[in-house]
Amino acid sequence: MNACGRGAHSALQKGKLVAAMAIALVLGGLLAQPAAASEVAGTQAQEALRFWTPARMKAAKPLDVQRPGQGAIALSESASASSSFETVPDPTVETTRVNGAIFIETPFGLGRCSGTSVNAPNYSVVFTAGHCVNTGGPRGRWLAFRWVFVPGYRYGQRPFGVFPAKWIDTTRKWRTTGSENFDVGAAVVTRNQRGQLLAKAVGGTGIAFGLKAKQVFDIHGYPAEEPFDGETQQLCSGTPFLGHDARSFLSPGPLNLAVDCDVTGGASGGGWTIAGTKTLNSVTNYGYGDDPDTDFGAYFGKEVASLFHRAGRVK
Amino acid sequence: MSARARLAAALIGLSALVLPSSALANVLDIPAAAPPQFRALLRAKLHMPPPHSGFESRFDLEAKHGYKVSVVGEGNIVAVEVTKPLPHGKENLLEQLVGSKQAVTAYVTRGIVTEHRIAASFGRLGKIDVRFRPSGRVVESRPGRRCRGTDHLTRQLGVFVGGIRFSGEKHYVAVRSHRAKGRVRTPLHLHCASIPRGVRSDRRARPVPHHTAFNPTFFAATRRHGVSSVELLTLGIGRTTLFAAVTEEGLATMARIRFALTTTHSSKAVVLNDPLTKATITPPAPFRGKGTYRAAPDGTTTWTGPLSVTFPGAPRMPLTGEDFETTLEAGF
Repeated sequence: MNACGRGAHSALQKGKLVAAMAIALVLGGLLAQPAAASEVAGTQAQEALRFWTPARMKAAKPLDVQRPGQGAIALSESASASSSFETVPDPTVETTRVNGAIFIETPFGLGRCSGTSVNAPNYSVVFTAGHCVNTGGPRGRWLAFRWVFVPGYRYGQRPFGVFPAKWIDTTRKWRTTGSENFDVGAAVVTRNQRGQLLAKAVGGTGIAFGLKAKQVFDIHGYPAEEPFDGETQQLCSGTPFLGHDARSFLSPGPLNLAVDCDVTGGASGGGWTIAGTKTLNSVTNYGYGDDPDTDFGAYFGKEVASLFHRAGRVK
Repeated sequence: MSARARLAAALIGLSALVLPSSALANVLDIPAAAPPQFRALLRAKLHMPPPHSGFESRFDLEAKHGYKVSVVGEGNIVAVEVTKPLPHGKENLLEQLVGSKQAVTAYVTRGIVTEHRIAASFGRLGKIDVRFRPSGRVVESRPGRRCRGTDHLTRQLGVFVGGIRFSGEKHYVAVRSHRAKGRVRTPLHLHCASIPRGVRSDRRARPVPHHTAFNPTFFAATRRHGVSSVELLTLGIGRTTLFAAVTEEGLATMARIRFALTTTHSSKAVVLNDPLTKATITPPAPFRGKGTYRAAPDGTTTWTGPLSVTFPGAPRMPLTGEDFETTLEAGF
């Protein structure tokens, strides 16, 4: 019953909110519903730049994961008490500017997540959590409206501009089952307002699949719930693999990973790079409200590899 | 989590039990030995999506000291479940809905599950590698109504043959065999508007007396750290109080999930004061002892006392302490 938490797992906390959102979803029909694997109706960089003002970015709330059987996403409202995250002093340097904040307009308000620029043949791939692009499960909804990636974001500044999504997708299993063992998403973004491709503007991490779970990770993200405000990039460095969530064993698929890191809402989708390398090997998925010290991320296996290759082929 | 949301979730979960589709959700979750209705509740509690296709393979073995060992395979998940049924008398409707009194310890890992084979390693606890030999006998449920897809369950009976070796921690339970009667059931789940008759239990329920006031109470105490958690849930409706304890641990290559369930009609099992600033919880076996909840005017709470629960292989696991988060609601 306590499976609630940071930017990912607090749906039960907000039954009424979810219900209201479900109604809004049905009545409003505001979500852009892209065809097939989710091509996004073109938001151009200039338009996105105008829309995503510092005030709107600050107002955006962390996206919450959809629970199976629920018809809507929720926007997180809970807070966690403490953190071992450390603020990245300069998010524009080479090692940190690959990480950024994601902003999305939803029928329920402005939402936010975290993401990472990943090196791919098209120089335009962002990796994040599955629930930051699709609410998951067979009734999942695409979160495609005004979806932008802002690398190196800090206090409303967009040092490398904004990169609107033109294509979003998740692992197939996230879309079909909503299992958190597969909660990984990706976006292919258009050029920024300066005409630059993402990976040419900020670089990108490598990405690895099928490694052993027992790694030491650097956890990146933009947590927005207390004690954070989402305005700065945060880092839990050198965090060793702790084990697997027992609930991960109850659903098919690769077992997810736990690390000791006090992540809060907004950090969903933040990259886990293998410590001392620039290799992405997981993203933040969820935490539990009654344990603010533990962060859970999906294992990068075959499903994630397939997602990466699909994204990399998008022109 | 807000107390009201918790409460709502518990009630929604219970309400869901009466839905025919939920009642048929006989799937591999914990406790697999529990009645289908309670499995559906727990699946909802654990936020697991119901399965849409596939099959479940299962066989049971008797062990010493009153334990029953079940091996269940579904998808790529294999579970060994050690159950100790608790004595119970006539059950009222609520008790039938939530399941029999019992305590279960389940060991869950990844393995190979096909319609012909179950294979998985439980590390130093043991190994299962068996092949299914159908006897030719097939049992089919009566068809459901207004179904999407298959309208009935098919149980193919037979014998699992091969190696079955499992020994619990400190050998509290041990089974070693080369064959066990079992079955393969397809599909995992029916998507029907109504339950096919003949699948539900035909035990006659004693209805909840009409004069009983609907005065529900809800208490929860949870502790979570890293990849382990302990949770006590108490739900009182009318004169019946349900107690459930669940622990979850992610171990290296398997999960160990423990579950205990009991009910009582004693009015002394949960005693609350009016402002809900104090409660004493005294559940019957497999629980033991008493837990005391106190809420101070400044909003701080304490949850103390010698309350514990006994699971297969884990006697007297404490259910109180400073690191538990508590929720108390009544009269909603």
